[in-house]
Amino acid sequence: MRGSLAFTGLVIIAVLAACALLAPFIAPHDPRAIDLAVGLRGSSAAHPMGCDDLGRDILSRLIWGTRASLIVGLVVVLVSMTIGTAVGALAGYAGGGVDSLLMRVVDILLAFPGILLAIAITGVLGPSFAHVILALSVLGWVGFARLVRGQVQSLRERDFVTAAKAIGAGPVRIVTRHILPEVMAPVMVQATFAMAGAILAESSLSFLGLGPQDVPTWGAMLSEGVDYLLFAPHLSTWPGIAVLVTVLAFNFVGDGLRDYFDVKAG
Amino acid sequence: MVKSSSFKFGTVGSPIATPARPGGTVGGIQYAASIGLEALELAWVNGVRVGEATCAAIQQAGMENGIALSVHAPYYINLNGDDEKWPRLRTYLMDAAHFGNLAGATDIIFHPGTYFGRPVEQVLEVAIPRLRGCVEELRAAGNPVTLRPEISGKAAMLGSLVGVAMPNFWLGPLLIILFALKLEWLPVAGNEARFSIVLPALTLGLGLAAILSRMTRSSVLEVLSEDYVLTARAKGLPERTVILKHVLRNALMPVITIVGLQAGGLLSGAIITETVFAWPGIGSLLVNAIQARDYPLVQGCVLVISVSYVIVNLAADLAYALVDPRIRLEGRS
Repeated sequence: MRGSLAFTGLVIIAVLAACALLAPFIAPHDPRAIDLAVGLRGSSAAHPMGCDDLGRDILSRLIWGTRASLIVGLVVVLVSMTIGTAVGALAGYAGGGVDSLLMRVVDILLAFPGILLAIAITGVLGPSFAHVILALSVLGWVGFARLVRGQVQSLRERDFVTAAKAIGAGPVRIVTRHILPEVMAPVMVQATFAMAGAILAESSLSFLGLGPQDVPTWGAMLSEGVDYLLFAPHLSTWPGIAVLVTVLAFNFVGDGLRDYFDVKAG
Repeated sequence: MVKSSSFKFGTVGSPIATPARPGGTVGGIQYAASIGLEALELAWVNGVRVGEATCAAIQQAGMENGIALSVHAPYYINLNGDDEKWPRLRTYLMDAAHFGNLAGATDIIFHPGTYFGRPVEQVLEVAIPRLRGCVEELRAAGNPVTLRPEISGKAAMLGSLVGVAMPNFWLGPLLIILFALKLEWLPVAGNEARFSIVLPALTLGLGLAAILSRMTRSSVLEVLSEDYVLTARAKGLPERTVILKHVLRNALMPVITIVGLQAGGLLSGAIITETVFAWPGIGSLLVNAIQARDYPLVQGCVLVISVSYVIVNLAADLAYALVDPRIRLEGRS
């Protein structure tokens, strides 16, 4: 079951990536084109998923929203992974005072539950693409740092590290050439789950009106649609399904990768 | 002794899950029991694939007939074979249940599907009495068989995966549509009415419940293969005691950690849920403060939420000692 679910997840992610890359070509309408005459209409031949309150085509907005969600997710994960791996490797390999200092910083950041800090940061800096990415990365690297630190701590006691030291390799070479390749499997698993988390967090911020303002996002579409729940539920249903399916797909792939690499849950 | 990860929890007798030999349903049950599965599902491949509508109709009819059924599309059954085929099917069912019982599995989990395109009412009229008859016969013959609705591990876990991925700013509106607008059982939003808390609490809690059920499942599966579980079974403890006292209590350790960690998720999830339900809590206060650029208030809210998160995590650490007597909370000396 796991394998097939992971495969399903991969296919979904491939489709989403295609939507994001080809958004200008496959979106049937301009996502910002307003046509009040068809406002709140259900599905029709011209608008397969119907129109929102201003008559904008929901399908086109969904496709463009894919782009926003995936870009935020990807950038946040790349930034978090780079910073987190670097900090974690430094703390884990150096140990001592450096380790204590870095881990206290991590503890402080972990004391902010969930996306609270992200809400505060985007709230104070103002809603925009860059600020959302910044806000989510500020917390995102912490998970990677803890993961990598733990792995590095156990790996540096292993014989191959001693052997590398014996032939005169410096600490930078040992960490980058000998230890980090061993850590990449759990980091990749963590990255997949982090991607799901970042997309969900981006939607949450957009839902609160703190997301990117100049492009359609799923969270913003949902929050606009909530006002019309009673008589036009399709406004919130489609973006809701989009978020659900995307997060599910990344979780499936993450589960699959974890089984494949045989990484212990964490 | 238990190797459950390799087993695909499907319908015994369906093409997906039928093990090679000894064939058929009986072999499937023996295999299921040999790998430590306590519940089994009975079904036959002769059936026809069904759609969601049929399943809903079957479930409804089942409820009216006093049997709680769990129905998934597409699934297969054939308890409703015509009078010529029925005796043979009945033998299959009796054998399956009997061998299942010999192997330690005492439940027949009923998985209705459809029968050759016949109306649902007809199907249930025939199938349910037949199934009940078989269970009664088996009991009379000394097999403690119970008939229960299917609670498939796979379906439940898939459900919990969806629960994890479900954004609560969408779940909230869906619950409002169902319970407040369509059924009119509960108030839409606010906190004036008596049961206002129900919908926000559900919205916030379902996600956590999904995470915890996944966690508990993997933890229980791990504990089930411990030697002390074998010991408990070997000394003849009833299965209920084994599961509740020996397995669940040991399996709860990692779950408590997750509860503590997820408390933070709850706190930040509350911000969104409060916004959806117009609940006047600290979360919506924070969002309003951000929108009004009231920075001292933002700082205050963040501080209060963070401190309560730290306190909850401390409580989770202390709870370890309650669950696991091996852990003593003493200072280093």
